[in-house]
Amino acid sequence: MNRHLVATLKEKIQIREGYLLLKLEPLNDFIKPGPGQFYLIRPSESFDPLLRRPFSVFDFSERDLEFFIQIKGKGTKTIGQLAAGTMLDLIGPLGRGFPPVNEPENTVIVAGGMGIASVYSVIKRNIENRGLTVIYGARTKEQLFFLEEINAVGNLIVCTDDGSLGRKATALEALEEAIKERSTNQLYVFCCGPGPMNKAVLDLLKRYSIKGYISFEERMACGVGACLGCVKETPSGMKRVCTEGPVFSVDEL
Amino acid sequence: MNLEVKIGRLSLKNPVMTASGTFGYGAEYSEFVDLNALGALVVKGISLEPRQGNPTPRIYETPCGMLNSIGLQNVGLRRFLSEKLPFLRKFNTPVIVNILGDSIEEYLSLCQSLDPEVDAIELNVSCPNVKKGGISFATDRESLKELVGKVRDTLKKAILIVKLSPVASNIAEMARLCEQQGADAVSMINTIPAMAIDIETRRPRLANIIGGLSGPAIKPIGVRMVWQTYQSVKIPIIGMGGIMTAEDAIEYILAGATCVAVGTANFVNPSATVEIIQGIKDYMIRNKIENIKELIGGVVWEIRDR
Ligand SMILES: Cc1cc2nc3c(=O)[nH]c(=O)nc-3n(C[C@H](O)[C@H](O)[C@H](O)COP(=O)(O)OP(=O)(O)OC[C@H]3O[C@@H](n4cnc5c(N)ncnc54)[C@H](O)[C@@H]3O)c2cc1C
Ligand SMILES: Cc1cc2nc3c(=O)[nH]c(=O)nc-3n(C[C@H](O)[C@H](O)[C@H](O)COP(=O)(O)O)c2cc1C
Ligand code: FES
Repeated sequence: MNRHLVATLKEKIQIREGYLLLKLEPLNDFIKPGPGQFYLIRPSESFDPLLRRPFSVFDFSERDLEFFIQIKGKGTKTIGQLAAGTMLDLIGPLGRGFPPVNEPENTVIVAGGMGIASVYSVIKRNIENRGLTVIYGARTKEQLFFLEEINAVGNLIVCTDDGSLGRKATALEALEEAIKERSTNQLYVFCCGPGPMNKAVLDLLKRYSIKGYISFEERMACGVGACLGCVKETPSGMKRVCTEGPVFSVDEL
Repeated sequence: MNLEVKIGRLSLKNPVMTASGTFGYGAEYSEFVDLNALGALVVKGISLEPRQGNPTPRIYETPCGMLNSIGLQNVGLRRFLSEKLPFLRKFNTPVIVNILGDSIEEYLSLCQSLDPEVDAIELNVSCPNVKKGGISFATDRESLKELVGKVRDTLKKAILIVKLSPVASNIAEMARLCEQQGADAVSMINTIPAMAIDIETRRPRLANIIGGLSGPAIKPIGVRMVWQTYQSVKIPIIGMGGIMTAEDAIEYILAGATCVAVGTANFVNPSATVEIIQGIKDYMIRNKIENIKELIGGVVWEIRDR
């Protein structure tokens, strides 16, 4: 059993214009992913688009893998045009995902925009715990998804830059407030957002000496650590986002 | 059916190898590919000291190709010998180490350390010769001649391959120079310097501005260069550039390549190398070819007067 799989596209659900939920069923037994890990999907058998595209595993079960994909350019457009029943070629699970949530009442999940795709499965796996706090931010309410499902955790803070839903604030501001409200910095933060947000969250967590895990994106070719295309600079040298990441702990950075 | 080929004294069970920098140090792909099935394994370029490489973004996709500006990031000689080579030695596949340096001295000291340990050295000459004002070894006849000659004198055991760059104004001439200096083989082509711009931000797509183009887009250029070189040297040519399938590999062999190397294709299909080996066998059966050597340089051509 290796990590190169063929899967049937069972369902393609348009969640909103430009956003798709793909349900895939691998043909053979497959290695089960963990939250925060990702797959490389080959958009087409032609050579244009050429490279595989990386996507976080959104949700998974014994039989299925789900991906939540925003249509951006050539590769995601090609994937978006695939019909249900198509066979897809993918590699995964890849990289290091999020650790298990040990203390839900002391854990804050922070998602910015499409970052929800990476942390959704962490939230879903802890939904009964109720203690978990989720901060979910986007530019406008049109860029917020699956609120009903996430709301089941009980402690959901929604924020939008334009105030169209929830608080008019950034996820970063909401996180800083949540930190200040607590008497302890015995907190764990799990975060995935766009590059600048990740960087700001990292700085914030360092400032408050809070433990955290942040998922980063970088351009990838191989996904398996061979091409050195996806590196991130850290105090202990260049690390490959596809292999040592995409989730890095704050003390590594 | 016989797929065996030779580079100097070195026998390969088949002509398919990996292209430097696209297969890591072998271990990264061992889950997808039986490393024993490969003709040879060429590892990421090694320098004397570890290198950090360039800032990101280092990769950008272009039509039927990709740009990379990895900047020769590598673990350096010491860690290669202690951490990477022992794994590769477990397989019954020749290990070819691609090396790079800023000066002839750096190449020579790499060769001295690697010579007893590996089957072959591939000199990546697409590096600036710092002592000569940064002009690339790949384009400057004098630098290349001196480098290859001195490396030849240094190596006692390992086979010497020189990897040529498509930026040389006459790659066949450069290949002949390498042959005269005692190289056992030449490999070509390295990536083609290229650039892409994001028109919205007006910024280059790569942090390093310029990167190397690889993939199917460069295949016709590689085939042409191999064909021209085949007319001017007797030593084997290792052909590469955009080989995705067995058909592409056979095209290179017909143009004059004794071996082929698979690069960017590994990213697209991690089992590309073994599928290409199988595809070459299928082609040989279909065309009733007993020995792969019958195909080398087998393109049929004539120049017609108008
Ligand atoms: C670990 C990881 C997980 C991801 N998870 C998801 C997810 O769950 N859902 C989702 O919608 N998107 C996700 N992305 C981003 C997604 O990979 C890109 O949006 C997608 O590759 C764009 O491809 P394109 O051809 O449509 O766009 P183009 O802009 O045409 O792509 C051109 C090239 O740039 C690369 N690229 C473009 N944007 C990014 C980016 N943000 N990160 C990395 N490479 C990029 C592409 O892979 C391609 O090689 C993830 C990225 C990474 C690195
Ligand atoms: C990501 C990447 C890294 C590479 N690193 C090296 C290297 O370290 N040394 C070298 O000689 N060539 C390097 N190359 C060039 C390849 O070995 C090969 O010559 C080139 O990519 C053309 O083949 P392809 O089109 O099949 O990829 C690299 C290519 C890529 C795409
Ligand atoms: S994508 Fe190739 S090393 Fe990470």
